[in-house]
Amino acid sequence: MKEFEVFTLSATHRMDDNGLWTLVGEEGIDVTDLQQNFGLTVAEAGNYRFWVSDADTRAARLAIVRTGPILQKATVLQLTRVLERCRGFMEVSARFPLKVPHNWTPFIQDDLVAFYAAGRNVFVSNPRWIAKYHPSDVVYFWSLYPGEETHRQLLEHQSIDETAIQTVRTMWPQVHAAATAQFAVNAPAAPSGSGAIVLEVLPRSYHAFQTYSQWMEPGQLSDRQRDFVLYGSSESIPVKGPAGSGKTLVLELKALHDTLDLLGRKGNPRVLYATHNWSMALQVDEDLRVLDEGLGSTDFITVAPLTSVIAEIRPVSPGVEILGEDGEEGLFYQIIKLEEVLTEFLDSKFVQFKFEATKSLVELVASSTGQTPESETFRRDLLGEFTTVMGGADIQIGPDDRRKYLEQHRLPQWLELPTAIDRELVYEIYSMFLQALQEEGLLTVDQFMSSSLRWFSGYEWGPLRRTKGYDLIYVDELHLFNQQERAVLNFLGRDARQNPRIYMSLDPMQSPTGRYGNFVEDRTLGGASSGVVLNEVFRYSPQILAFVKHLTQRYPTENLGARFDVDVSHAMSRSEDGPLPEILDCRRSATSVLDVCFDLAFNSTDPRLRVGVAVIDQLQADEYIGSAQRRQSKRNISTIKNREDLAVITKSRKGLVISHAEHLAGLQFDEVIIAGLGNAGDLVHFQKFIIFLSHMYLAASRAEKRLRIVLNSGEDGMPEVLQTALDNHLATRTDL
Amino acid sequence: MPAPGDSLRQGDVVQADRPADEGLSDLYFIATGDCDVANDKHFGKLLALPLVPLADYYLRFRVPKLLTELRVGKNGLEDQSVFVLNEALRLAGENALPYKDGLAWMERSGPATICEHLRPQVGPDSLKQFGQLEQRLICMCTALNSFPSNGSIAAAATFVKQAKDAVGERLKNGPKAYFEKDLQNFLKSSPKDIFLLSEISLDHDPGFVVALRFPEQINSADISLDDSTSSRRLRRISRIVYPYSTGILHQFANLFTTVGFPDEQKDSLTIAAELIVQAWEWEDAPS
Repeated sequence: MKEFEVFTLSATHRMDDNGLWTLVGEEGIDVTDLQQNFGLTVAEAGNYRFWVSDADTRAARLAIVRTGPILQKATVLQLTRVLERCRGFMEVSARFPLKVPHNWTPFIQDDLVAFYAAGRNVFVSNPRWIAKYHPSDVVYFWSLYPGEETHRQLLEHQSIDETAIQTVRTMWPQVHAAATAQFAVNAPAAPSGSGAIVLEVLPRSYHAFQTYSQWMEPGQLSDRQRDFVLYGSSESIPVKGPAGSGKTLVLELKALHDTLDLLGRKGNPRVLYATHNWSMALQVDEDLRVLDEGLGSTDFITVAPLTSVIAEIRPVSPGVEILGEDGEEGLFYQIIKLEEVLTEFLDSKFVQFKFEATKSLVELVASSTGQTPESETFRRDLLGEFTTVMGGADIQIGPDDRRKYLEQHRLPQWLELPTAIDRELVYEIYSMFLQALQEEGLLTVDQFMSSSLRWFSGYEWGPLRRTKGYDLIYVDELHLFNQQERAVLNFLGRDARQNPRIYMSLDPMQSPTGRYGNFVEDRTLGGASSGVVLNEVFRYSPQILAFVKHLTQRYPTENLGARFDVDVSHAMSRSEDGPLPEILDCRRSATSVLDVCFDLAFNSTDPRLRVGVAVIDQLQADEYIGSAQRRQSKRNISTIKNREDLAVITKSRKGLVISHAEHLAGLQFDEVIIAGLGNAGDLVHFQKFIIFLSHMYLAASRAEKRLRIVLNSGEDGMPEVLQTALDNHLATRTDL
Repeated sequence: MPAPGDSLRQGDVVQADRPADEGLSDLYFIATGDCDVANDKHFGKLLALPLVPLADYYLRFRVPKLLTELRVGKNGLEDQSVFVLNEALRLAGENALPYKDGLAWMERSGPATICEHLRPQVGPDSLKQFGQLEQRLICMCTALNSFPSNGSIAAAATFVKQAKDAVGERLKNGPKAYFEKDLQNFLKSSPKDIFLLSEISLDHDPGFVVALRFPEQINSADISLDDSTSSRRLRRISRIVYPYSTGILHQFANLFTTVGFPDEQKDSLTIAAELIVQAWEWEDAPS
């Protein structure tokens, strides 16, 4: 490893997509192999090593990583995680103003930024980068600090030696010229056979470059969309519609329109556009900048996940950290934490309950650390109990809390715990879970929201409202917010005397994180009208829409009340006709579903198409992603395997995206290939069936023109919902 | 006994006109200095130390401590019962339970039910051992359940007997001898927060404890020094004379001045002792 490792942005994509970060820690790299297989090369000069891709121009964005002792001693995993985050920072720092994912805990001071170099538990010392950045210049990862000073203290006395930046600027033209010459000599042979198509980096989808004025021209929006954007309301309005009906777009247009309107009447409006996660926030922010066409209204719109907005208004105390930055990530981390607690519980305390608790509960607990659908569902149910029942009644681990929980009147929709011993058992797990969080100084997003709700209801928020509250609130994907998050929205208005005006988009069928099944109507959001229904689908063809409608026919969703219902059956497609969705059955083929899937993806009829591979079964997602990384060579392939990837990926940067279906929300593709459906026999379990349908819906509604589903009915069976689609001629079937 | 009308002095014993079991005691030792009493420098408030009959004090303070020690102390009944439970769990192929969980389970389900659950998991070779553990566990839990909720000596004796039987330390001469021996030990090495008196007046049974940790204030105006002022709430009944009165006051002063010392004082002295020993010349001394 050199003292200065220099990367172009394009090279970081190649390295990330191909899992090549470990090369940074190696000596004697086979440059020919690197060039021919990955379109990458390295150039060394003294303490500097440049990583360049064949797509780089002289104007390429560069980052210098000053390695230092921590990276030089890092394990392969640690090195990879740090460099992945460096790549992420290169991406986000190219946009202005700088918005770094909240969970990196960034602190920005002028052109310096401090943030955690990797996720939790990667390093014992949890080091932080001090980086110097400029949207259009070299990013310099100056130093990794393991200390415990605050970010502010770290940055206060930083004096960055910029010699390296000057050196890299001077060397770069020469390095680039040499690399270009090298690539010309070692150009790879013409692609042949399966998996050898080069997918181009495509421009953003057609509408992404349209501005507000262009959208408002006649014929661009439907009448209903246009009316929603232009006309105000005295009450909150939900915008409802199936995936692809343009909810996000009209909400963005509405935010811009209203902000401009407010600017004309009011000096300093405060507008909030709340999302469910950072990925979506960054996307919306980018969209608004394009739509804004220099009108300047975006300066008054805060785009951020709701959790971050609340944490900004009411920061958590020093020594306490929120586990996850939003409901989705929070749930992910909570499940990991719960698995640890359950393992400990089974080892130590379970015996005192297992003979006396209800047999079905005992069986669920005994297998609760497994990866079966039942255990996954049970873990989510337990977290639901912790949040809804314990959190709702403010039950913690105080002296009277156990009794309070045991004596609580239970509602039918809660976890079924018929005996006192059952409840004792669950309380024991809960208290271990809470203790584990407290020992690590962690607060779950739900706990944070619960305590925030109490805080907002108190007197302290009153005087702050005028300066920290919002005139207008826009909420994207309301279906992804839980009840407490939705309740917090009621308090964010600037005027305490009335409910804030909230415009929100929602499609409960896109809620894949297991919050469905709350059959009691949620009346959390006050003052909302029956809303606007967008029933014209712009994204996908009538054939795909018909298939999506079929999927949703038996789809129970969280009950947000009649005002929030979405009736897909009346949706119409405004796109051109396309082929019927195809079900490709490998039952007679010697080739596996995975191979067929990648063969289709890599040999797409038109290499310029944007293709998404959606893996339905989470347990198979890693296998698909790993396989894709091993197969690919010089291709623009993006894999989404975790939140880090999701935080920096943009809507249409990549030609081919491979991911678990859950991560594809918000993305769209010309063609979607669905694979890794899991075993159809598992779908007899209600919760598993719902998750399957939700992921199918998400995946299918990402496709604009073509949808293909690869399965092996001989091995995994044919899901009934697909069989009925075939019976109703909503899809075709081909036996391979 | 001071003569009627004799002025109030340090060391006088006064008796309150109320039932003896209301409060710690109805008898007080006047601790305010003679000079202050004589010159009325106490502003009408006198410092008084309760005088508690030894039998009451022993039952009220010493016995509960003794029983609690038997129950929750190191190697006490609870400790040992969880140990036995975990042995039974081990024979059944289960992991040991943390202390509190083991106790909670035994309290909730009882040892017989627990053993009934576990027995099917025990291998045939270990069944005999398991049976012995079960018996011990039942004895221990029975003893734990007999932990007295009142201060009677009979209840205390029952618990002590059962607890000792359960942990295999059978009492040789019965609980009466056990408590007699403990009372003797208590008198021999009495704690520093009491002062023992053999008697306080001819009208009272022998054996009293001055409870130094519970000083009270009483109004001097409430004290009657002879029978003529019988409407007063307190009546002088005797006087503790030198050297006993001085002994009580010295011990009282010692108790509270020690309480006020910072811990560093002890630490510093320990360090000083080490330094002194190190500084001595040890070369010619045998190792």
